[in-house]
Amino acid sequence: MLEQVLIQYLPLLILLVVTFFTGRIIERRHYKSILKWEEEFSRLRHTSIGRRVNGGAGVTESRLVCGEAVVSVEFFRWFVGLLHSMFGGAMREYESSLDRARREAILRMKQSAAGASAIVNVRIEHTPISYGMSRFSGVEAIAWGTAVYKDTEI
Amino acid sequence: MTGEYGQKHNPNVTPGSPLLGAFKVLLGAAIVAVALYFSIGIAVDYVVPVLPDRAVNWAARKVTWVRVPETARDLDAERSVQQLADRLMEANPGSPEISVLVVKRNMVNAFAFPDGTVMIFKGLLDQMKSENELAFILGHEMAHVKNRDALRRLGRTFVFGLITDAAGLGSENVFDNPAALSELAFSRTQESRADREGMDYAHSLYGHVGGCDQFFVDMTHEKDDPAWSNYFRSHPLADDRIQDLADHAESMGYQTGEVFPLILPGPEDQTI
Repeated sequence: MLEQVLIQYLPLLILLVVTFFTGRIIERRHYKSILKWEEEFSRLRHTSIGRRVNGGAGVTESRLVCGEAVVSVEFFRWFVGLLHSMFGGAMREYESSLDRARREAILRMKQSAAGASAIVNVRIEHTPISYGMSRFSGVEAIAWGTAVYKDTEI
Repeated sequence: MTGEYGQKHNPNVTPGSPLLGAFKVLLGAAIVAVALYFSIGIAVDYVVPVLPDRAVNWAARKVTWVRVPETARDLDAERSVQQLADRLMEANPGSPEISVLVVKRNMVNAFAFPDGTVMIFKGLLDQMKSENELAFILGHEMAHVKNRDALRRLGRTFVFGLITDAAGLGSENVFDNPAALSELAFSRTQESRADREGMDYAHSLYGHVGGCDQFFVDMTHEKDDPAWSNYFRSHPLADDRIQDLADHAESMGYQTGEVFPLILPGPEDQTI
């Protein structure tokens, strides 16, 4: 009887253990890269404010910049999240994906605004990526704003 | 913006070890599942005996209780055993309708499912010496169906299946593996009652109860045979049952009589 149960649930168990570790490793590496790039782009500021600064004086160019990132939720987090969603409570499992997707999207937006003085009017949107009724697999974040190019610093 | 927080101390992520959090949720789910499982089991025990026939029939047909591939079945033996079952049903008006499934396995056991499917292993058929003996076994399983013993036992699985279905987890309550049938072990009282009623059924067919206890008599000599181990796990002791059957025959005034030899088609080596 125990044998039967083991055979039936062994694949699930293996999947849970393996994806737990892959998820942890990928998360750690992603945060490392996020922190590095945030440092790199720290001089290019972004703001959600869209009003004119200094009457728009000195602006030579402004254009739309956009950054997108899709971060997946590994099987382990999905499985635990499924149970969480039944019983209630903070879905800790999905929070890190959301955080990483948002920050990655902002970084990619900044990457596409090379040479800009600032990015104003920044907006961020999220979309869950899922298939089927219950299989949530990740989150997509889109960040966009207006890159402002100036002769002098704002 | 400078990088301020990473994997740790991230204000946007609930603090705490993810593994511990997962463990807590899994533990909670396990506790809820176990509690649900047992409370449903108890509820089913109380509800099933008082349900109207219509509800029982509905529940019995709602689920595919057992699925055996055709290659694992002995269709020839199945036909002849079904014929005997049909005769038994004819002799006992009002008895439940059963359909026989003979599985090519060297295991000495038989199971009754709520929908009237009676699963008999080839190992058991090989032990049968007379038709009367087999008729008694069929009668015994028929009594289990009539008494809703199987539904009582499997009702928990059934209701649990409905819940997991509703929760979107999805599960199929099909016994694909005969070894998983230990769910079907009945209580001592249920077995004794089925014994007595099985004897009644056999008596209606033959007019006597000769050969009915033959199976249990054989059984007392075969305790160490591995093919029987599964049987002993799910059934009470043979000696007591022989005595119970004798007592029942005496109280009902049943006589013994001539037994018919059992002739089943097919070569012997079909058992796997």
